[in-house]
This record gives sequence, C-alpha cells and structure tokens, in this order.
Amino acid sequence: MISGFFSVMLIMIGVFVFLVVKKEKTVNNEHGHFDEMQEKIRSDAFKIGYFVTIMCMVFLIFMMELIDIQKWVEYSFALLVVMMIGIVVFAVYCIYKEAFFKIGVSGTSYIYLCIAVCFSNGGVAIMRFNEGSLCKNGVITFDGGSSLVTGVSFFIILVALLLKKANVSKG
Amino acid sequence: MKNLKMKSARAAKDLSQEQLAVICGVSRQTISAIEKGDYNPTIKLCIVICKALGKTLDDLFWE
Repeated sequence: MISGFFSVMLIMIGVFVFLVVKKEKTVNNEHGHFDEMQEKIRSDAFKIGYFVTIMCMVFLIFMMELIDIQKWVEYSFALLVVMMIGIVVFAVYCIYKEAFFKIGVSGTSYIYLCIAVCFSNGGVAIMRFNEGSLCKNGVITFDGGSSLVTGVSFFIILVALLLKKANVSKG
Repeated sequence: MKNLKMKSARAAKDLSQEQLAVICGVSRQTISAIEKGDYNPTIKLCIVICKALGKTLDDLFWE
C-alpha cells in the first residue's frame, strides 16, 4: 500500500521534472545558455567536486584498511555517499557563485523540485526505517540508505538555493 | 583593478548592469564582476561590450 503510494509519487516527480525542463526551455522562447564566466565557474566547480570525490574515496579506502567499515555500512552505500558528496559540492559551489542556472532562469521551479525530491526520498527513508531494512544487524544497507542520502543531498542543495535566493532579493 | 571606464561609459548610456547584460547576452553578475575587476573577459565579450556601449577596445580595456 505504502510502496504503491511512493511509486505514484515517483511517477509524479518524473512528470514534474519533465515539466520543469520543458518550462525552462520555453521561458525566453529559446534554449538558455551559460555565459563565459559561468562556464569558467562551472569548470572550477567540476574540478573541486572531482578532487573532493577522490579525497573522500582515498579516505574510504584508508578506513576500510584501518577499521573494518563494513561492520557499520555496506560498501556500496559508502560509495554512494562519496558520489553524492561530490555532486553536492559541485552544486553548492555553482549556486554560491551564481552559475547553477542558465541566464534568465530564476530557479523557482527547481526549488519546488528539490522540495518534492526531499519529501519523497525522506518518506521512503522513513518507510525503510520502519520496515527495518535501513539498518540490518547494525549495518546501514544500500537499499535502505540510498533514499536517505538522496534526500539529505537534495535538502542541502535546497537550503543553498533558498539562502542564495534570499541573499539576491536582499541585494 | 576596477574598470571605471566601462562603468562610466555604461552610466553615460543610461544603462543598468542588467540592461547591458541582456544586450551582451551575459548574466548581470558577469558585468558586475568585469566592472569590479574580479573577472577578465575574453576578447569576444570585450568586443560585444564595446559595440553595446559605442566605444573602442582602447577606450574601455586599455590601461
């Protein structure tokens, strides 16, 4: 029953994403573009995100060698966390430097999208926690933890977007 | 170093940063960064800005 509800919710989010992308293209009756400074900032963000991902990966490998990390988390879950850290670093850097959205895109639709993804993934994470599949024998599983990590990642991006929007409107 | 020549040329044309950004096809932040000296534009963008403000490259970007 509950998983059916979340399936419907995921389909609705898929439709919402499609509408957001379609709307973005039609706001100015043309495809948006990043200007040269935004492209430079984004390339810097890629570099930083990549570097952070590699550093986290090295840290993870050290942790695996020093202490048996698989007593607490599944390896695939740890890899997902590392990947999400890289994505979040890239997104937050771009948002902070105002290079996340193309020229002329306000980003309001993306805020609603982030809220929807946060709620749906948060809901799935709570459901998995109640089912007991989030943590099995003291080990955080990939199946249960993936929605939690996705929800948290989008929450951080949402906070960054809201802070930036508040900052811009304040002038 | 701040680009005061560009700022005064824009003011003389009675254009806001936003309006100049729209004419040049860049973001307002890019125009702001160029005026503040935080970003060195490519020659391509310099030419677009010069055309928009009716100035030469020497007028706006030569020390």
